[in-house]
Amino acid sequence: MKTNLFNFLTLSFMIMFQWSVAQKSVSGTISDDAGVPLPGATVQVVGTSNGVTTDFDGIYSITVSEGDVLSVSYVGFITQTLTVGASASINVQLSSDNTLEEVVVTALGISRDKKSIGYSQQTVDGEVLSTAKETDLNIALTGKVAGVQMIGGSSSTFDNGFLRLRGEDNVLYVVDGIKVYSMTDINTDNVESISVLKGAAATALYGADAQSGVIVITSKKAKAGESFFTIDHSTTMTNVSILPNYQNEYGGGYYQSFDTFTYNSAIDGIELKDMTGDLLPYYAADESWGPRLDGTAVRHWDSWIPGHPDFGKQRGWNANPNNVKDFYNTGVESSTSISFNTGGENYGMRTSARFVEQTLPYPGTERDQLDAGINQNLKISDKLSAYSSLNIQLRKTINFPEQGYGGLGANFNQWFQRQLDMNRLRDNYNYNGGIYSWNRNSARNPVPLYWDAPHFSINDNLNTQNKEVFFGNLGINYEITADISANVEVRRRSNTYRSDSRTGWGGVNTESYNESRSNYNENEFVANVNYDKNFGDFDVNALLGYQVTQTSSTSLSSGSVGGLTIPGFYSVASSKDRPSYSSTRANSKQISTYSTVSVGYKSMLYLDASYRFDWGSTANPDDNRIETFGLSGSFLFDKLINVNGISFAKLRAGYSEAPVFPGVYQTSKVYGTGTAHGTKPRFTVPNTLANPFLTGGTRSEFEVGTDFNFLNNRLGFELTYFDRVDKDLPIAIPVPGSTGYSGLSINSGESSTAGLEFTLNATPVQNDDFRWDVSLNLATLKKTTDKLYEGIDVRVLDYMSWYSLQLQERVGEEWGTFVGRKPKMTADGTPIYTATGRTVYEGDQVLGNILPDFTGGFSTSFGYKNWSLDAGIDFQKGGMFYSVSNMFAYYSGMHEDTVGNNDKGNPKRDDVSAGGGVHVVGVTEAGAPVDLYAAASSHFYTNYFGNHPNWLYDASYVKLRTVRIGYDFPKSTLENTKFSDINISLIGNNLLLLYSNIPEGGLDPSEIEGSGSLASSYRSQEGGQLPPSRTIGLNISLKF
Amino acid sequence: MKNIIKKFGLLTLATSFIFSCTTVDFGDENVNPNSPTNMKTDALLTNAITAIPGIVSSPSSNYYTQGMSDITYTTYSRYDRYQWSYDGFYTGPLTDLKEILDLNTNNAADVIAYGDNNNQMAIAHILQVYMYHHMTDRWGAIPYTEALKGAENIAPVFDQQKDVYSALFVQLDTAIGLINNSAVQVQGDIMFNGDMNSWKRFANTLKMTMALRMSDVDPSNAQTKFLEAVSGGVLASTSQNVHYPYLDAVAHENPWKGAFRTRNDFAPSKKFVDYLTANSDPRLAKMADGSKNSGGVTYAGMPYGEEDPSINGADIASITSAIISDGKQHGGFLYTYAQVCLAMSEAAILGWAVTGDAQTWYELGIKASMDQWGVSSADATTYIASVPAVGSTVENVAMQKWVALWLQGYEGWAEWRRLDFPNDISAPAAALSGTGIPVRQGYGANTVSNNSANYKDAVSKQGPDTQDQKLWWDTK
Repeated sequence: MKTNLFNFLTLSFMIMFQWSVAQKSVSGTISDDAGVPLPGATVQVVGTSNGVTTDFDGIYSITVSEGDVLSVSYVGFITQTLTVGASASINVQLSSDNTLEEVVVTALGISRDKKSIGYSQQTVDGEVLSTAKETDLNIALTGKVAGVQMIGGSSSTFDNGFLRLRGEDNVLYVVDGIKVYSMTDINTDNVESISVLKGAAATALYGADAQSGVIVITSKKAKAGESFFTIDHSTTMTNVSILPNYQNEYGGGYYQSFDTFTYNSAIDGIELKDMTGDLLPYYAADESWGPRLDGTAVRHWDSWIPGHPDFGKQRGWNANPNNVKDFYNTGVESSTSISFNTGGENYGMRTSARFVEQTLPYPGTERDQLDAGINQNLKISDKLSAYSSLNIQLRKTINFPEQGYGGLGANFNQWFQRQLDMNRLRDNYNYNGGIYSWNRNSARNPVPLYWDAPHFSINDNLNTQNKEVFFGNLGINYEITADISANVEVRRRSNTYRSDSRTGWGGVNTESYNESRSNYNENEFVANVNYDKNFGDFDVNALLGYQVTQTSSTSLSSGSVGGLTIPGFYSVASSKDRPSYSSTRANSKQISTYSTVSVGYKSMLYLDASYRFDWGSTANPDDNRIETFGLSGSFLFDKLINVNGISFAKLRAGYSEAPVFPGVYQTSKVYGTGTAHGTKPRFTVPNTLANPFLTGGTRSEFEVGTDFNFLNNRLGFELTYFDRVDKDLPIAIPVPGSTGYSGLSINSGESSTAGLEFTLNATPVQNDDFRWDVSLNLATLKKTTDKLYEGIDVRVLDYMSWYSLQLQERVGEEWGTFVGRKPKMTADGTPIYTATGRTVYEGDQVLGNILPDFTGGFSTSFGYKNWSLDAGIDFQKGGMFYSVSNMFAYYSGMHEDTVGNNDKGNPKRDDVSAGGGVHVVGVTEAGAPVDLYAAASSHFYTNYFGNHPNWLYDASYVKLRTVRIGYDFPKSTLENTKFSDINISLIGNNLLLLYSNIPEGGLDPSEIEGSGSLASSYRSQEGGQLPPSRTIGLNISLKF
Repeated sequence: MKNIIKKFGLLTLATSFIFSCTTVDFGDENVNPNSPTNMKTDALLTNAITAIPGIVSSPSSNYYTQGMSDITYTTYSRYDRYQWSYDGFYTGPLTDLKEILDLNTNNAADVIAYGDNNNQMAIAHILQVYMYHHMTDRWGAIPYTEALKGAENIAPVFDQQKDVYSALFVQLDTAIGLINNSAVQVQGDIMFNGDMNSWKRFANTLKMTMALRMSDVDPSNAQTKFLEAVSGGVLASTSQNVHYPYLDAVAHENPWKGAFRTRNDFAPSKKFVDYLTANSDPRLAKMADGSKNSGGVTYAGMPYGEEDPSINGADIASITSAIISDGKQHGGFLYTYAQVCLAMSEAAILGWAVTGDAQTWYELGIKASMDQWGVSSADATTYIASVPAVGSTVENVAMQKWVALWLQGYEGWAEWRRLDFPNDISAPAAALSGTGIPVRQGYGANTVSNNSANYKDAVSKQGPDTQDQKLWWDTK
C-alpha cells in the first residue's frame, strides 16, 4: 500500500512537472496599427478551444505551449497568426481591414457592399423609428439624411406632411420590393432599415416612377437559430405648445360702444318687455374692435336662448385670455405591438401586429389603427426556396381637423371675439334642440352670420374615413448553377378609402351629406436572372429582369345639393335637389425590361451600369418606349495613399438619364361636364388643350462625391455634389385667357438643379462604460428655371388671394419667386402715404424666394452602461411663407400689437380726437409731409392687409424634434426571468422650437399646412395653422 | 458547360428580341372613360348660356352707379379692386360657342339632331356678340379678331373698342341673317326654348343698345344702326322682358339669393332710397323691404362708401325678399321693355327718325318699369302724372333709366357713363383706388403677365390701364 502511494505520487509529480514545463503563460497587448489598444480582441490557439479575449487595456494572458500557433483577431482587422516562441510576452499590432463590410440595400432590393456603390446612398437604421415611437415615417426621417427635408404636417392633426428629396416631391416608397401607395401604409415597427436613394443613378433601375428618389424599406425578418416574442407598449400625451399672441383688452365688435335694446311691442314677445336699455354687444361682428373689457354688465350671446336659465341675465364684459387654450384637450396615443419571430436552417417566419388608438388635442378626433403582417421564407430544396409576405392595415379616423382658412384654427386666430368664454360656448351651443352661435345676426335673430359655434363644428359637422390596405408578395428563387440564379415574384397592393362627411342643421352652411369611395390597385409580375462570379481580380455581378405592372384606380363620390329633406337623417337619397355624382376611372399598364452589370477590380475600383426600357400605355401609341440608363463608379484610394489615420477613402461619380411618361389620359381630347340645368345637360370645352404628342420629359443627372473615414471609423464624412437638368418637361403653359384656353400642355419646360450634401459622423468618446455618437448632415441646392416656352417668361405656380400675391417660376431665376405688392418708399427709405396716412403700394414686385438656403439635422446619442440618451434636431435656414393668420389677427384686432399705448402715452384704440390713434409719419407721393394719428381699426386694415412683405416670413427654424431617455435592464437581472431584454424609455416628440424668425409670433414655420385644407405641395401660405403641439410619453418593450 | 452556353444563348436571343421592340400596343388602355367625346351642341349651348348670371346678377357691378351700398365691409364699394379678369369669358362660354360654330360648319350632319344648323349658328353668334359687347363696355380694347385660336395664336392682339363695335355689328347682322323658321327646333336653349322669333327680338334689342352707346361719339352711325334695329323688331311689351331662367336648385339659383344666404352685406343706398322717397315712387316698396328693426316700416338707405359705417344692418332697408328667397322673376334681367321705351324716348329727344314722340315713350317706359316691379296700374298712373315732362334734354330720361335699371348693374353703369346723370354722385372720400367713380375696369393680372407685349400696345393706344380712363364711346 505504501509503495503504491509513493509510486502514484511520484508519477503524478513527474506528470505535473512535465506539464508545467510544457505549458507557460504568455501575455501581451493587442493594438491596432496606430498603437491604440484593442479591448475584446480574441487570442486563440489554432485548432483548440483554448482562447481568451483582451481586457479593457488590450492586455491578454493565455496558457500555451511553445510551438503552439496563436491566432489574433478583431472585427474590422486582418487576423494574424504567429507561433509561440521562447518569450513570455507577445505583443501584436493588427492592421485594419479597410474594406468596410457594411452591406446596404440599393435599387430593386439588391444588397451591395457600401464600398462598391458609386452614388450617394444613406441608410437609416430601423432603430431610429423606435427611438421616439414615431408612427410616422416622414417625421422619423427628418434631419437624418442630407438632402431630405420634411415639409409641413401640423403636429396637432393627422397630417403626415411629406418628404422632399433634393427638392423633389414625388418620392417613391418601396417595402420589400412592393411600391406602396402611401407612406402611411407602412408599419414603422416592422422596419429593419431604410435606404435612401437620392440621385437618378441610384434609382435608374426603377425607371420612371423613381425619378424623384426612392426610399427602400426592408422589413424585419426572422434569422436562423432564433425564436422570440416581443411585446411593446407606449402611451403618450400631446398638448398644444404654441398659441398666437392675443390681445385681451377689447372685446368683439366694430366700434367701441354698445348698442341698446329697445323693446318694440310690434315685433317682440312679452318676455323681452323689461329689457329696454340692456347693453348689446355686436354679436354679428367677427372681429375684436369692440368695447373695452372693463366688466360692464351686458347681454352676452347666450342670454337670448329661450328657456335657458341665463335668459335675460346680464354678465360682465370681461376678458377670457385662455379661451382658445381651453378649447384643446390633452391628446392621448396608446400603441401596443407584438411580434413573433422564429427561424431555422431552412425557414424563417415573422408575424407581427400593432394596435394604435389616438386622440388629438383637437377635440372630437379619434383614430384607431390595426397593422398586421406576416413574412416567411422556406428552403424547399438545395436549389429552390420560396418567400412571401402580407401586410394589412385597417384604419378608422373620425373627424380630421380642418386646417387652413375657414377652419377652426383660422376662426380662433383671425375672426373671433376675444371675450368669449369657451366653456359657455361648449355648454350652450345646443339647447332644447336649437343651435346657437356667438355670431348671431342680432339680438332678435339667432341665425349665425359668418361662424358657427366651434363645438357645433366638431360635434355636428362630422367626417369619418375608413382605410383598408393590403400589400404583399409571393416569390421563388432558383439556383440554376453556382453562379446563376433566377427569381420570379408576383406583387399586389390595394388601397381602399371610404369617407363620408356631413354638415348639421342649424349652422351657417346648409345641411348636407357627402359620401365617397376610392380604390387604388397595382399588380406586378417580375422575373429576374442573376449572375455572380469572380474572375481573378475581377468581381462580376449582372442582373437581367422583366416586369409587367398594371395600375388601376376608381373613385366614386356623391353628395346632397340644396339641403336634406328629413331632419336628423343624413343620406344622399334625401337630398333636396338632384344630388351631385361623379365617378372617375384610370387604368394604365407598363411593360419593362432592365439590366445591370457591376464589375469590381481588386476591391478597389468598381463600375456599375444599368439600362432599362419601359413601354407605357399613357404615352402616344406610336412612340411609347422610354429608356433610362445610369452609370456610376467608385474608386477606393485609401490603400494607395496609406495615410495613418485614414481608414477609408472613396471617390465616386455617376451619371443617369431618366425620361418619364405623361400622366394618364392627357393625350386625348374630351369635353368637361357641368351640373345640368333642370333636365338639360351641359358640356364645355376644357380649359387646357389636350396635346396628343405629349411626352413626359427627361431628367439627366450627374453626381460626384467622396467618402472618408478616420481613426478606425471614429470620424467620417461624406460629401456629394449633384447637377441635374430637366428637359422637355410637360407643363401647362399659361397662355392669355383670350386664346380660349388657360393652359396648353407642351413639352418645353427646362429647369436645372445643383446641390451639395454633407454628412458627418463621429464618436468623440468611446470607452467601456460610456459612448457618445454625433451625426450632422447639411444640404443646399439651387433650382433654376431655364426655359418655359417661346415668348413666355413667367409662369404662376400658385395664386394666393390677398391682392394677387403669386408664387411664380421666372426664366433665368431661382424657382419659386414670390411676387406681390410692396409699400412704396422714397429713395432714402421714407414710407409714402396718402394724405390720410394710408399706405401706397406698388404692385408686381419680387419679394423673395420660397426655397431654403440650406437644410439639415443633428443627432446625438449618449450611452452610459445601461442608460441611453438620444436627441434629434433639424433645422432650415432661409425660405419663405405667407402668414394669413397674423395678417388677419391685425385686421380683426385680435393681435396684442393692436392694443397698447401710442407714442403720446395714450391707448392706440382711443379716438384720435382724444389723443389716441397710431402715429403715422412719412410723405405723400407728391412729397408733402404726412404726420398724423390714424384711427387704430382702419390703420391696421389699410396699412397691413395685403401688405405682402410684412407677412412673408422667414421660414428658418431650429427644432428639437425628439428626445429619448432609455434604460435597458441588465442581463444579470433578467437571467432568472423569461425575458431576454427589457427596455423602458421616456420619449418626447416635437419638443421645442429652439429658433424661429417671426416678429409677430404665434407660428411654427416647420408646420406650414398650405392653402386651405388642401395640402398644396408648394406650402407657400399658412391659411389658418392649428396650434403646434408637443408629445411626451413612456415606452416599455419586452423580448422573450 | 454546353448547357450553360445553351442557356446563355437563349437568354441573349430573348433579350435582343425584347430590346428591339420600339412600341407595344396597349389597345384601349388610354381611352379616357370619364368624359364624353360625342359632339352634343345642345349641351354646349346650355353651358354657354349658364355664364350669363355673372353678367346680369353680379352684386358687385351695382356699386358704380351707387344704387347699392355695403353695410359692413365697405372696401368693395370703395373700389379696393381695380384689376378684373375677362379670362373666364374666353375659356368658358366663348370657346363653347365657337365649338358650336365649328361643329355646325365642319360636322353639320352630325349635329343637325340638335337643331337647324343655321339657327344654331345664329344663336351662337348672337350670344358671342352679347358677351363681347359686355366685355368691351367694361375694359375697352379686348382681343377679338385673334381670340379663341388656341395653340395657333398664343398672343392675341387687342382690338380697339371702335373696331370691336364695328366688327360686332357685322357679326350680329350675319346672325340675324341666318335666322330662319326651320321646323328642326334648336335643343339645349334654356333662354327661349328654340323660339327663333325671341332670338330675333333679342338680337335687335342688343343691336339697339349697342347703337345707342355710340350716341355721343358717332351720332350718325348710331342713328343708322338704331333705326335698323327698331325696324328689325325689338321688345314690344313687358311680357317680352328677357330674364335669365334661374332654378330653385342651388347650382342654378340667382346669385343674389346665394349672396344673402349666409351674409347680409348689401343694401339699397341712401341716395337711391332718398330719391325714390322724395318722388313718392311706388317702386320703392316693391324693390326693397323696410328695415328689420322697424318691423319693415321705415325705409332708410345705406350711406355709400363710408370708411367705418358703424350702422347696424337691421336698421337699413334691404333688397326685396322676393329676390332673396326666390330670384326667378327679378334680379336677373338681360333686357327690359322699360329700357327699350326709354331708349326710344331719348332717340326722339336727339332728333332721330323714330315714330312717336319723346313724352309718349317716356311715359311708356316708366309704366313698363312699374309693371316689371309689380306696381299697380293706379299707383303707376298717379306717379306718372306727378312727374315733370321729359323736356328737351336727356336728364329726365337718364334719371328714370337710373331707377329702371336698378340691379342691372353693368347695363346701368354703361348708361350712366354715357348719359352722365345722376350728376351728383362722386367717388367716396375713403376711396381705395383711382380718382373718381370708375369708368372702366383694369385688365386682370394674368393678361398683364401672359400677353404683355400686346397689352402694352393696347394701353398705348387706349390710354393708361386705370379705372379712370374713359372709353371710346364715353366722350363726356
